[in-house]
Amino acid sequence: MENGYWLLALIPGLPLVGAAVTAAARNRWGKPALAGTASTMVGLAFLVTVAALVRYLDLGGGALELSLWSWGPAGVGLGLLGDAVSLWFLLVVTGVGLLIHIYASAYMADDPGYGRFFAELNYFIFAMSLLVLADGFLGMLIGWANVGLASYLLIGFWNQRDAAAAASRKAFWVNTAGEVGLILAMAIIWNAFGSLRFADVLPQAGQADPEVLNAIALLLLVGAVAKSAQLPLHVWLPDAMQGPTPVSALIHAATMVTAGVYLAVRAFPLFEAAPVGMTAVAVVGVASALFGAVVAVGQNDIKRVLAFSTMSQVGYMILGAGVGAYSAALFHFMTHAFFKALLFLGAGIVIHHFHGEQDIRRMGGLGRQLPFAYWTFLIGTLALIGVPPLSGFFSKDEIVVALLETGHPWLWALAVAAAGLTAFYMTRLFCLVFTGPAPNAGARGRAAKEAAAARETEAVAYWNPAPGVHPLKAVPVLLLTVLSAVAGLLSVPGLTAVPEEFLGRVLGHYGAVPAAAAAVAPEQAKTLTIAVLLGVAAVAMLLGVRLYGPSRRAAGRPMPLEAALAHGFYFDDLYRAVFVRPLRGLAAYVGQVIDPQVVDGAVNGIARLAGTLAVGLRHLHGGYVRRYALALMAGTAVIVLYFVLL
Amino acid sequence: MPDISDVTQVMPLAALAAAALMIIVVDLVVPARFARSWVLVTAIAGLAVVGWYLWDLWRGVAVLPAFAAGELRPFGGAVVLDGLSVAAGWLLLATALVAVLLSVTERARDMSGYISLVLFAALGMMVLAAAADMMVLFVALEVLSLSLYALVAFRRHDQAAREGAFKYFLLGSVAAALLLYGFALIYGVTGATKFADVAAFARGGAVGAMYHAGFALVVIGFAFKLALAPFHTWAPDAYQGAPTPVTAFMAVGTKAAAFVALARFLWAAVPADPELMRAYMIPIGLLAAVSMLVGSLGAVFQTNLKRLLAYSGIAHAGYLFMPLLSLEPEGLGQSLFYLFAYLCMAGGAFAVMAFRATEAGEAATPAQGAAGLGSEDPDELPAWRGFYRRRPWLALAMALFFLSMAGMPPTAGFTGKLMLIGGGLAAGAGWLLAAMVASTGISAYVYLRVVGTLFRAPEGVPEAGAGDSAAGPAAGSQAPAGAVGIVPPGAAELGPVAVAWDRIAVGAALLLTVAGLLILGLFPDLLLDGLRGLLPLR
Repeated sequence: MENGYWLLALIPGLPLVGAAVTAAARNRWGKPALAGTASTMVGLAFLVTVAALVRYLDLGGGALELSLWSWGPAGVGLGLLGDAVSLWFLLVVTGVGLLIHIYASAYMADDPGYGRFFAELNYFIFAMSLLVLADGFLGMLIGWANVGLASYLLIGFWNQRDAAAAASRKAFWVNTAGEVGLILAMAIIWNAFGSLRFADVLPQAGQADPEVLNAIALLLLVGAVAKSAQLPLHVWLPDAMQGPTPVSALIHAATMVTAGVYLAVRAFPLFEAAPVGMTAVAVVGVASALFGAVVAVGQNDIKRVLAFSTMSQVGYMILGAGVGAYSAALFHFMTHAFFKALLFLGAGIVIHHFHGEQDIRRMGGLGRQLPFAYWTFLIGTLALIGVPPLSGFFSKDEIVVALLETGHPWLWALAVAAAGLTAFYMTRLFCLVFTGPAPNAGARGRAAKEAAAARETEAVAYWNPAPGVHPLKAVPVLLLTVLSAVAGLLSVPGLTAVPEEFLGRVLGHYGAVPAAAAAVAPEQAKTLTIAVLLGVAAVAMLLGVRLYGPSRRAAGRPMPLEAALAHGFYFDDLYRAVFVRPLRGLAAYVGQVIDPQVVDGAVNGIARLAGTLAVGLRHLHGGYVRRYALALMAGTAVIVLYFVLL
Repeated sequence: MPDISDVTQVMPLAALAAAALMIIVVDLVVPARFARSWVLVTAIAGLAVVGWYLWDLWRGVAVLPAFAAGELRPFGGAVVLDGLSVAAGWLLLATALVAVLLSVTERARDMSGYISLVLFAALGMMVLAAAADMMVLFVALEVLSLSLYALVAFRRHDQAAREGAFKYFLLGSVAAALLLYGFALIYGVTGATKFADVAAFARGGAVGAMYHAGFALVVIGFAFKLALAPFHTWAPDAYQGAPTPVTAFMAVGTKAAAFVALARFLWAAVPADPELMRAYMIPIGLLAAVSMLVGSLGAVFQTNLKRLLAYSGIAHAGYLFMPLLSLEPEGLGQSLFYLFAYLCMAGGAFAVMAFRATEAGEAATPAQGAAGLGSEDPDELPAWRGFYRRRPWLALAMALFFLSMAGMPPTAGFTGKLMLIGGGLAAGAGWLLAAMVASTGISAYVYLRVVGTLFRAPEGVPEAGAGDSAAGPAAGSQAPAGAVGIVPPGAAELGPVAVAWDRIAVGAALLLTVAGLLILGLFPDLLLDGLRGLLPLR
């Protein structure tokens, strides 16, 4: 336990300063200065995170702590807690955040809102690092809400587009619903434990009433589900793709949507102590994993495919947390951050190449034109599918193995099915974009494309690893490609177990799940799972290549359930019918009938009463001193009389 | 018999008296050109010395157990230097500092008289908060009151000042007479003037109608000083007439000192019998409740900012009594915390007004005055329209002060109200809480109206000679009591250097209040820990 490790405050502090500076200077400084300031702040935050990590490892046990604020009258406080879990998240938030800042400095180069973009991006890094660094539910909520606001601002970054504005509102509403759950959970926690600090609440989680714990776990889960776009509150995530692509990569793939995973892992004693807690988490996770994978098959917008894929992959993480495989869940969080950010950044390059086209049916043949994008996207795709030895293989494998080890064969079967679908939709996506014939661009389109290519290579006479791609875009993509490829080596079964050992300092090993529950011996489980996963993936990929490969066999043929898939099984329509329309009607009724007649009537009545009283008082204060004296003497008479008669 | 050791024990008070006298001497000795600055410097230095001695006394809490127990009673027990005296001393010192800093903007001809009166008033307040004897208490009250009567009337040529001072003096004299009469009755029954002896008598239980009546009259006397309704009528006129620094000083200092003295008196004089105690406290609770409602309702139609703040002060005086009703010692700490918060909010608001007045003074050149411009009373609410456009930072500070008065987190007003509510609940004053909720609701309207005015676009400034078009805004801003723009005598010859010092001084006061407001809101533990060392506080 090291108290007062003040460097921790720099991790959220530096990006906050960066946000303030870039916001203030957004119309005065040039673009390099703005992007440089914002990126430097995130880079410094990353370095501080590394320093904190070194310090933390030196400590052996215990955590880095820093008390920021305490508020005596209510007994609440705010502090930072740097332990294995929060540092693990911070490495990704600041590290991937830095890469995406660099990427965005080139990607957003033509945008008039350049400074605003970087201010908001820095603000997001601040909020996210506060979320994972907070030492209690209160601080986490503050980060949580700020992250929601940053997400709102960035989804609606192009706020002159109606679709973007609508999408940002939708995301904000759903996240607010989640926050309500979180705040209610906090109220119950405060009531049951008398504190909101993790260090006070989590160790004595088992001592509360099971009913209370159930309520806490379910309400926390509502918050997690809303933020992590899990079933049934996932509807905002596909629409959130209206934001600029770096935003989709950073916020809606790598970091923010995993806040629910963070919550589930951070508060795991509460979930474990609650009778229904773990089951609920696991069910939500597997349902989302499967649902996201199914819907992703039927999507045609490149970013929406990736969005549903994100939902599905976060579902895996939640599922892992739901069976107690916490370190596996967090390992998958890290690898997913790498390869999903890579895929989104790659998608950004693709979209720019097709000058704004996002429909994968109208793409093709990009492999020959942009070999850099082809190879990096391929690595990302294979990592996501889980092809060894890329990172996704090891992390996903670990979660799925844990399902079998802890005796959940049904969850295992569903997870495997989702993995097969993942292989299929990613193969479809990849083939449609990179193979086959290039779309016929009209003369105007070709001219625009050439102009874009010229601009991309303009600044780059001296060195360019990726012809046709701006180096500030290429370098982050390249780094993420390497990370996606090798991060899995952190946890090779039988050889390394870095996440498990490191995170185990806080979480305990998932082997701690009672052995009696294990239906299958660990070794068998591993062998069986790896074999089945690889087999399913191979079949799905072959099918995908056969259907959507260069020969495009499936082109023009309707997909089964096409309409249902394209609409994500009509969740939006369901919500529109169940919530939006009735609420609109209610709002109209309140606005047109209740408010003017009942509420306004009461308010006006009170106001009139107050006004009447005030007028009366003013008469008393006519300015004549004799009236004043009268009031004084009358008051005196009443009080003296009272006391004399006492 | 008092001896020299008694004086050493009351060094903060002695130093304050010495500083006040010194100012008069300085004015006599120093050449007239420098008198003004020397007087101000002496006042601030004097306050620093008082602070130095108070600091000494404060450390004594830790060193001397006798001190904490309230056994430091110099002058034969006429004055008591306990934790409460020291806490109130800090509060009053801070108030006096703010008042003196704001006084830098004053252009009174007789600066030394003005400042020394401010310090004498501060002396009266400090003695009042430390008095343990009815006679000392009365003398302290008179020192304070007489100084303030004169200060309110200091702008002799301003009709509002004369009117306010006259009303204040007339009613104040009656109240003083009532107070003295109450003391006389209590003395007649108990044969004692010291609180300790009165307390011994009251604990004895043999209290009769005469004692009751005496108690009632004393409470009324205090209620007048605290501006509790229905004894508040003088406050709006006096606040409006007084120079702004004096208004700030009265609003916070008088209230704090009288509150502490009343608390001391209640602890001593309320009988121990629980039945009687409840019966004794009911009228005090009622006074508080009526004050809250009258204060907030009275503010609704005010267009003069000083009058509005006077009514708001009436309501705030009512709030102070919430934790006190069960006479638990813990409640005092909560009320004192709120007084510190109130110092920051009200002191800050008056500081902005003082700054505004210096600007109006600059603008109001004789030529403009002749053209009917610049004669707009800067205290009138319509004159604050569009303030944000001209002075964004000052307007934001002003908005902060008013939002804090409305109880917005994370400001001192929120923390303070929260503590009052906690104390009120602990004291079983649920009905008072209801009154507070109603009052806070009404006041929120008043305060938000002020904040809204700051940010509203200014109405078109009338062109010179376009008399008709100016009728709208100008009519609304005519001061009802005939207040006119004060062209400070001698402002012209003081020149820009003096104006720069004005701004520095007001800026310092603003910095103090804004910092206090936010610190008490965000880090209340800093003050709470300090108060805990002095008072029994939860």
